[in-house]
Amino acid sequence: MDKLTRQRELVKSIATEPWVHTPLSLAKTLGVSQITVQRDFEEMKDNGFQFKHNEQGTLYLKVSGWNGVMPVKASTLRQMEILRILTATPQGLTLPVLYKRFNRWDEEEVSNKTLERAMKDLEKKNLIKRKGDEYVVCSEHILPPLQLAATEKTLLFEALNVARSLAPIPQEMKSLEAKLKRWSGENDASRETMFVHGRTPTQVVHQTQCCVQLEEAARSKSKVNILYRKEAGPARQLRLNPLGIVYYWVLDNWYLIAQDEGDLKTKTYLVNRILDVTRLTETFSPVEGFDLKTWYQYAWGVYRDECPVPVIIRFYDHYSTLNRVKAELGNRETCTLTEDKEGLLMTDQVEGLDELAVWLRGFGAGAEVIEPPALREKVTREFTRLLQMYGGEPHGLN
Amino acid sequence: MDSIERMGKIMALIEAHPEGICGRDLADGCGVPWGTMKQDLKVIVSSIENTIPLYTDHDEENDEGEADLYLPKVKWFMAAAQKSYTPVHLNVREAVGVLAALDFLQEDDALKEGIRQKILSGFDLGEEETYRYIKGELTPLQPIQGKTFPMIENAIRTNRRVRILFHGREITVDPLGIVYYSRLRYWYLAARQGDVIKTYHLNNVQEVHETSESFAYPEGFSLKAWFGPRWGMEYGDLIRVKVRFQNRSQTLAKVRKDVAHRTSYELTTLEDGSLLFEDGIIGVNEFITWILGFGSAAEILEPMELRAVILKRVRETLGNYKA
Repeated sequence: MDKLTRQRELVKSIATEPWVHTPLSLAKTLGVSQITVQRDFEEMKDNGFQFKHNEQGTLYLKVSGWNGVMPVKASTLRQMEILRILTATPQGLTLPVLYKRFNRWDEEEVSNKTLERAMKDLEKKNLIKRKGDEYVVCSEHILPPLQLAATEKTLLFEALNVARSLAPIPQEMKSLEAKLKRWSGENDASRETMFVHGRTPTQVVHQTQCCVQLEEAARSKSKVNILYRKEAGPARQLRLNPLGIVYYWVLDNWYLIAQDEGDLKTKTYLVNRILDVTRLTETFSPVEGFDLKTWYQYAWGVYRDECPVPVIIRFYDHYSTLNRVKAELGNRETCTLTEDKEGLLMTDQVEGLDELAVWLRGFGAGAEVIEPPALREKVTREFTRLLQMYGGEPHGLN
Repeated sequence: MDSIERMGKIMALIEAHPEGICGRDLADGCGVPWGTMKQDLKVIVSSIENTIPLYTDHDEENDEGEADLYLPKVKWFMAAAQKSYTPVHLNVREAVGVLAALDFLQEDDALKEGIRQKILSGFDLGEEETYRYIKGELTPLQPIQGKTFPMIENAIRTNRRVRILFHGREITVDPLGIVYYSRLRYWYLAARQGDVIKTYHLNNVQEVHETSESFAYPEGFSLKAWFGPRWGMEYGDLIRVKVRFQNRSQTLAKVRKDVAHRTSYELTTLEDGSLLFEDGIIGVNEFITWILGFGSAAEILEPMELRAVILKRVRETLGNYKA
């Protein structure tokens, strides 16, 4: 058994039978020495795993980590490579030249079509632009800020120092070093000159790794085993046919959409409940007509019951209601907004009336549900509760 | 500035100075005499309901009693290791460079991978495609005019007044800092025009010119203290709020994620499993929108004025559904 497989086995045993195993019992079961197991635990700790143990020494998996080499998506690597090449060539490069850089040998590694798609995407994100036939990198374009902890800043410094000792440091790295010094307040009484306001998506290495693996498995139609744990109980091992992953901004969660191998039903799984993903060599046959975007087209959030309901909502000119509605529904393809004297009328087909109700509540009197009666009922019921909660009398609404 | 508002400011000042800040500077920063500051610090330290992790550079040396703590030269610190994130912004060229430099490090650990992921995510390359879908809006980052960003940064650092063309109008301002608002993915310039400090959307700044005039950075001004309490981008007065959230399905997880970035909030789990949220906020409208989204799982306990505002909104809404 190789090291990675063994570490996976350790995680699986501890997760599916919490508070049962000790390092000693695990060494016995796996037929390896206790020192080996100890070393595995050390290594796993470096990879973000966190374990708890009680007085008897039995273990519980508190937080899952990552294992093996961190996979980065091939398309991301390709785009980063393009940015790297263009950064090194400030005057820019044409597509055929770039193509040659990627395909130096006889065999084609990156097709023209793939390359073109990557360039188009980079252009859309304002990372590169065209100047005649040449592509140049928008090197001064500012990326969203990173939130670095003190240890991370130190590590970046160290990386720059090592880089400098190996090769002359390029100009751009000097400006970076100066920036880092300023930020870590090495120069003088540093003044905060920047502030990040608002929520940013959670970034956890384990979760990113799960997402990359699941997405790759979906692409190659490989079956997966996942260790899935709700709350603090024992984890279950599930065998699934992964169809894709979805990020839902409102709850800041990633979800896996997968077919249960048993009943072949398509279900949704929360990625932060997945402790481990093992990609199997066995493949599954594609689900006829399944397309992630179509699957979610009527869903308001991530809830699906496969029976969209016709919805009509009136929005009134109340605070910033109309602007917000237009901005937030602009990309919803199934929705029609009609402007009239009273404001806006929205017609749509929706799955997940509860999620829609959450959004509507925020508008208060700025929104009125016309259809369906079930949603009207949901809204009035919740607002009547609020009325009682804040000490108002329900004015004969029942 | 009333005492509650001052408390918020004191905490923000202490938090903004990881190296510690002495009582005298706190008093100056808040524009009050030392005697008033002394009282405020005593109140904060002795407050039982919110245990704020404050300590001073005298804590370890003597335990002769509290008297020595409240001297103007004693430095105050906040023990909040996890919250000491520094915002770092890179341009494309620098980010490409950093990623390359990371490869020189031999260690392969969670820390290094974490940074790599953070930097990569800034490029936003995880494009939406067949097997990956984003539900809910994430607007693409708008490019900012050529040299705007570095010029403004430089002016802030050198206390140089700038002339900007904003919405086609030319104005002269004292640049104080840059704010990034993650929900809308917008950059703003925080600057003083005359006596008023305002934010200017950087996408609407068409031109920047440095002037030869310099300005004095406002004594005790802290970007974090000034901006931190805001809910969204609204202006208004600072109010202390207390909200109870019921432990229902996703409620508590959502609350925790939504407020995690805030600078001065406090969350307490109550005996019945509900969560008490306390914070100083600016921007009543956006705050109420957020609260109403939770429906009856959220109840504003304080201040009473805000309860009255909610009640009014609830009545208006129910008015839509009469008969």
